[in-house]
Amino acid sequence: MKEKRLKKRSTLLRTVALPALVAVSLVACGGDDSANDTTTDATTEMSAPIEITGAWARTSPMMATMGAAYMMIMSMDDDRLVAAAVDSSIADHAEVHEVVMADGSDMSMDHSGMDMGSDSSMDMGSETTMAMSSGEMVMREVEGIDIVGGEMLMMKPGGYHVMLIDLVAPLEIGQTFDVTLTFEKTGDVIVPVEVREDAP
Amino acid sequence: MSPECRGRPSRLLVPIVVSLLGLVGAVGCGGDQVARPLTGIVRDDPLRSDGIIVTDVTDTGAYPADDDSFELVARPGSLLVVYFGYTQCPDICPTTLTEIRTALRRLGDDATRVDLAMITVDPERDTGEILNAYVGSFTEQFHALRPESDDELRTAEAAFLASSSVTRLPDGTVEVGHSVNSYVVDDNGTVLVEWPFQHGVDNVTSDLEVLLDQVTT
Repeated sequence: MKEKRLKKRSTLLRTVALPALVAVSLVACGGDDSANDTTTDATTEMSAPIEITGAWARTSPMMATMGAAYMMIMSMDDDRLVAAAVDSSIADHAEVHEVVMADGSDMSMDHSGMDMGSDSSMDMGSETTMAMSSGEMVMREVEGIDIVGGEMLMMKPGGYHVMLIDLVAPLEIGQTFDVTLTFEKTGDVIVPVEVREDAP
Repeated sequence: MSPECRGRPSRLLVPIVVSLLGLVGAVGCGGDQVARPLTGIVRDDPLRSDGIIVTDVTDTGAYPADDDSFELVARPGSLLVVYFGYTQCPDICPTTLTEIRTALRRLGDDATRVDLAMITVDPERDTGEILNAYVGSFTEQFHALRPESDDELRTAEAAFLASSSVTRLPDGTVEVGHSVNSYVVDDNGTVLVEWPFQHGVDNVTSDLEVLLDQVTT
């Protein structure tokens, strides 16, 4: 079960995990109206469970002092990611960062435009592609990321990531380390992160 | 890019080759008729990088390197992939360079005809030693390029319509912004194709295959 990948520090774990399991099984089975009535109420009353999947970090090139970890965050309820931490044996510290266009615009917009999905060459005659190719991207720390209940938050290359600052040693394939994410409502969630060459 | 993209030309090729079996020799390279199109950005008026020279700190074992400058053109019959980045970049740069590394691995022996040149946009922090180790993590055939002056960097960027900025913030952190395309240059200094960020390993591989065919014919 994916829930096993989550280790939660607080004693809330049991109270969170139980309705989470029920909720997940309902989702997986497509739901049952008669059962939904009571279970949904129970879930609403409890703390919002957070499910984090696909956590990975890219192998770091030699001499690289910075690394990045990516993951998918799904919360049953609204929450806010406010901090990230990593053990000092991995990096000095961690921060939540976002890659944006240098002019402040949302990169994800341009990114979707880049995903050509076509086997034809791009024509550089249009203004859109001209703007796209000349844009600068910059990485910035963010104070927090709002998690919308029921919506998957993707932390992925070119968007949000947990930045690992001052790596102690290169991140190598097969290695696993923990990143602690702090959520405003849920508290700390420890996420095992697998080091890979590319996204899972 | 989807596998379908790469598969389509092959499927087209089969009936054409079969029907023209007896004529291929006379026509010459019959397969060229259905050559895969490039997937990246191709300009009607290609960019050029011949004559653009950047300080080369590539450590060939006898650092500093014998040849301390490099013109941004490929070796004869080869391709040069040019990228502007910096080593303290945890997201965009390793994502792009990993994509290129994976594509080079897929090329097999043909990868010996592809070199990678990374020009640091943060030469103050990217020393020669750091840059060598960093770029060398992605391929053995590389040029670690570290502009010695702002003019040198800006001239190189201008050739590719690239740009960058290094800003020191009040809290002591350094914010680096940079354009994120990578460029494939031939031995004449013509930019044959540009790849935007996360162009995709399949696309990058396909373009390199197509262009390697071109530079040998």
